[in-house]
Amino acid sequence: MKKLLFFIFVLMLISIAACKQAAKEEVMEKKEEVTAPEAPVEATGEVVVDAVGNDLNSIQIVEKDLGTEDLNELDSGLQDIENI
Amino acid sequence: MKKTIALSLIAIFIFSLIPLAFAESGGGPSGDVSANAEADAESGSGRLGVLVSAREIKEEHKERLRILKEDQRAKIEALNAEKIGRLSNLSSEKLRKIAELDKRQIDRLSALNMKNLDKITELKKERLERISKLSEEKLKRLAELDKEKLEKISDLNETEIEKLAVLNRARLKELAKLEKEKIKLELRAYKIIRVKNIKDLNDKNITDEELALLRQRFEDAKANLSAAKEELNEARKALKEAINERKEELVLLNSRFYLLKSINLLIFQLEKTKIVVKANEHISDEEEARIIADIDAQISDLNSFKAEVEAATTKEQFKELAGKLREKWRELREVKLLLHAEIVMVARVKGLVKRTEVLEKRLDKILARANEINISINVSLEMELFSEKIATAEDKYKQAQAKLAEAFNLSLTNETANIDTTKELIREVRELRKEAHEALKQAHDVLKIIVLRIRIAKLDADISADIEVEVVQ
Repeated sequence: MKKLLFFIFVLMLISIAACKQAAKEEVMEKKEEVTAPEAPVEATGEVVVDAVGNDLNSIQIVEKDLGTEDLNELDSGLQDIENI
Repeated sequence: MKKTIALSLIAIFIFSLIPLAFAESGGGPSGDVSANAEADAESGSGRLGVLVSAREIKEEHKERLRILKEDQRAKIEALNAEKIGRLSNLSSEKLRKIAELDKRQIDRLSALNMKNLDKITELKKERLERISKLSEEKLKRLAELDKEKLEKISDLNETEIEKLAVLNRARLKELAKLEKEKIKLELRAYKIIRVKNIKDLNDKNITDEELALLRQRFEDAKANLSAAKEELNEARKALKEAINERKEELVLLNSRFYLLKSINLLIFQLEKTKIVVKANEHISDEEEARIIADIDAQISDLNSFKAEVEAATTKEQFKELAGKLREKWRELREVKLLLHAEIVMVARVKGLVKRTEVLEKRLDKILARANEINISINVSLEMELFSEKIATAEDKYKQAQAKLAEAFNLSLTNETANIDTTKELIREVRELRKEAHEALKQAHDVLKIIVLRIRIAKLDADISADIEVEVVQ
């Protein structure tokens, strides 16, 4: 009888452990979803739809192209001359 | 005792497995098999039952149509069974009202779903007469409105109804909320245009050759800018060395060199912006001319600086010129370049809004065709969401455009007092433009789902084909 009790106990432990593991995996998957970087446009095969998707993404590139971040060092050089 | 405990534990364990077993049988293949077996067993008697009930319904429909005059009944009996079924389900009063319309009007109305058909036939005869002159696709869009709005709209004249029906779902909903007189006033400002190719919506015409040339010029400008940056870094290094070695003559020489390289760098940046403005198909010729004139004025200012730098000989002169150039650079960085960049970005968003509006109309046509050939694609919720997102993007970009015009005009005054207001306006434009962009991205995600649903329904439709649609400007 003791053996049977022990067997059932072990069986329950295993099922509890398996349940916990499954729950943990689900949480981890959800976390990945949140932190995942923005995916590139998925093609639908419809030319106009995909073209709109690509143009939506390219707005950021144009913004960067027209930005002045790359010219920020200009200021410090001019300051050097003001202080000569 | 021990035996009892053991048995109870076993019982708990077995009970805990029961939900799992149910879950598997619910979605598993065995469930399908038993369901199919049952369906097979009942199929003989079921088919017979369906036939009997269909005949009964047909008889019932015929009976209901007997209340109509012969010529009116003939118009309805010429429709397909599904449409007759829908019309027969209407009350006698509504059925008579509809039967008095002409054949095409009846056909269009009977294509509506039962809920909308019932709602629309509540309208007075004259209103129903006016509204049912619309095409099936437009009628379907209007019929989605609630009864009160439908009554208000059907009270407008035929031209106004036609114009209103061209609006997309979201804009239609918004406009229908207004009072009748305000609707009329708003409609006066709208212009309907027919669009076959998406390029028809461009604000200026640029040929493919011109576009290719501008692209090449843009790449060249980028390369020039990159080379100018390298040269500027070298000039800075040389200037630092001269300052550290305290060689007065070399300091002045390298100061001149650095100032000239800085001016070149700013000119290349402005030239690059000019090309992007020219290549944007949603910036009109007139608007382009104003922006280019403003950029050219900045380049001209910088060229004047260049002449002053070349003529400078003393340390004080170089120091003063460096201060003036820093001020110019600040103005360009915080106002002009930012403003020009936003003009380009907002124009791009505008182009994308127009394109998605055309896609919405094309989808409407595709879905109407699917309905005609009895292919059921239930995407009404997605279409509504798609329309809402486009309307949000449109609203945001239009607000951005208005603020942009204000900021541009203020920036031309060259008054110091206006600088802060201009900067604040640019900040607001940026926010609005980003919100419009986000709404468009969400609209595009919904669009992908709609396209997928159409594919699943195996409808032979090409949204990329040049289908002529009407859009409002």
